[in-house]
Amino acid sequence: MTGDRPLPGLATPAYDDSPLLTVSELRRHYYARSRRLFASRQTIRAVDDVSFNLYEGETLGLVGESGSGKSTLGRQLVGLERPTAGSIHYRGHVLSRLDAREMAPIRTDLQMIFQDAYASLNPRKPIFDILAAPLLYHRLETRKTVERRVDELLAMVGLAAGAKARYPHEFSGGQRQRLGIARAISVKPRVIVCDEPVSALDVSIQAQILNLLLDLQDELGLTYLFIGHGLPVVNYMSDRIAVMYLGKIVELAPAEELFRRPLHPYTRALIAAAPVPDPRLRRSDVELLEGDIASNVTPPGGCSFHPRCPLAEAGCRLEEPALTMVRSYGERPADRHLLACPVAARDLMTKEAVT
Amino acid sequence: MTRLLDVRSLETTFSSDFGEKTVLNEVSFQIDKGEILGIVGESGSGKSVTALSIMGLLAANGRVSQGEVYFQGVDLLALDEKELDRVRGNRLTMVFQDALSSLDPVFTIGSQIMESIRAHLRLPRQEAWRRAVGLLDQVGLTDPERIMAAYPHTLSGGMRQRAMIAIALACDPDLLIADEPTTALDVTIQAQIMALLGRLRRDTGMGLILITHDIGLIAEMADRVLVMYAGQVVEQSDVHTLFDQPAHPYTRALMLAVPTLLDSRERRLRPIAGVVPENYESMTGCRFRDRCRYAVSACAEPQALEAFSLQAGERLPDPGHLVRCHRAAAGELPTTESVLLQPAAAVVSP
Repeated sequence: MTGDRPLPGLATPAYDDSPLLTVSELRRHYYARSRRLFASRQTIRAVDDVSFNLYEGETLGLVGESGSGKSTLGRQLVGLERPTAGSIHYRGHVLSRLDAREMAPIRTDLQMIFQDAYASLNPRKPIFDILAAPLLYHRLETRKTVERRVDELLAMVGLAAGAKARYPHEFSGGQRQRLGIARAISVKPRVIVCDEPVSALDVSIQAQILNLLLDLQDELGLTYLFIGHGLPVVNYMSDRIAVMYLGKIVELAPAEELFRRPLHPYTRALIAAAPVPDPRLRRSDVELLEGDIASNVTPPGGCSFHPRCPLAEAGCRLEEPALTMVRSYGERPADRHLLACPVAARDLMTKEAVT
Repeated sequence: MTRLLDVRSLETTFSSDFGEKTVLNEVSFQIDKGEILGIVGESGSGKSVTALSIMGLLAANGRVSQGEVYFQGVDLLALDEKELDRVRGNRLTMVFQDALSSLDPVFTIGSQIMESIRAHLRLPRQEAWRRAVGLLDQVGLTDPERIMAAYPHTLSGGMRQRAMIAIALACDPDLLIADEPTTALDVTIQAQIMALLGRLRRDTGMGLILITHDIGLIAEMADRVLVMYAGQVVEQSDVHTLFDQPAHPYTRALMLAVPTLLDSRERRLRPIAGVVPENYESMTGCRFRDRCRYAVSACAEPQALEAFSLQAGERLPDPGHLVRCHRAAAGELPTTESVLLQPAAAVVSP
């Protein structure tokens, strides 16, 4: 059991001030034919003007409802999707400007773990082939040395060496996710995008995988972008959390602060809606969000959350709020609390002026 | 007063080319008007099979091989299909996790809700239509009139799930069985649906069986709880007792394995080692024993559901808190406080 060690990177994140990866004004639009003849094509704004930094050694959590664009953002980060506009800077490179050949050595640095581990493993190949292929392709190992590395990888994710000869269907959901993790770490990445890696797993297995990810982060000095829709899981994993709504980041803050003092009305609603496993804390009447997430084909004007927002004012319909710093909990840029809601920011200022 | 639902020693068996498998053993529980019973367990624990057995919806190779199911005093297992259809979809309804496969792709949402209303309540068309629109509005769907005319495939997963719930509620059921009704939905939508179900229970006295793997939802909604593991009920109690004094090692392990927003940042999750045994139906003793940190050799003997004792020698006359673990029943396990409060990880100084 590796359970009794301090949580890596939680209380004292090891990252320094200069970001490992910078996302600026990133957009990803999809185009769909309109249902009506002669009508112009529809634009779906999956990711719409997103900027943030990822610092070395941290875990940045990404939460939001389905359709908020979090998976698209994650896929862009590892180069699986090209940005429509904006850029991703990684160690002096602008990812979108690289061609396939220039991108190849960088791909090993940026890896991804998927929600559906089974779909990401070729059912016709034994585990050895699946794990050896990227190592040989990127010339990290030779035919002679690769077997030892595969054994080592399996041991790192808690699987027996005998797994090599078996096929993906012979493994349980949790074991398949371990294989997905083994493949992601095999090429010695620096950043791993974890796209809801435990959402499909049974609760008793989830903790095994989450702790494995924490241990590996500690051991290998990994940086994670952790995407999830369950707040407790994201909170458990992350140093900082970004909340997405309709393709935009509406709040970004250190995890603890975000849960203790959420500022954006949407973040508050998300936290209020998460069930609390203590029947004594049953809320008689929580503030419930009305309605549904709006469409990202025709997002509401101004702040896209305003139709559901309890704080909405006339101005919210007109002006799109920018993500700005409202407080800071320390010296480092990662200690900043960013918010895209002028109304909540103003309320905070008045409250602070009074006290 | 007759119980709303009284399930006694339910046992369900599936047959295949390889023989028979009894996947559900000795499941007994009661539920009264206006009560919410939570059934919690992981996949394969038998929670869905319990629901399907009650509803008479088991696959062709499955049958209730033992036990009784009384709904408002009527033995459901003794009814023929026609008699059952008068109860099902009317006073007793069910919501499934997978809404796409429970909705008919060739009919509009509206016609599927109205089918149920008109079949059971015999309302004229226009009134049925109004009622259907009202239901869609109640489950939080914006623009219900548009959705009445929509086909299932044109709606998002969350919208379909809510349409399913509207169909289940169409005839003001006395008992609703909801099998993971919100698992695929976002938390804000889940909260809307849970608020609606809570309101219906208060206003109409509807009973609810809420089947879920989410222990948080159980804490939020349930009055009483069954914890299931590998086809058996391993613990049964009112919700407060369950969270204050979880008795079965599996229940305790489950609570320690799940992250919550109440945790301090230093808490380390404690995973449950291993997986659910594959051929659990042939196991004689405790089915959790291979994964249990308190297992002793006597755990290989058959385990009965007994009253839980806090301490050795004490016999709590609490027939309301049952546990299928001879060590928990004898008061041999450490108290819950010492289990839950043990430092799980060295505390990191800030």
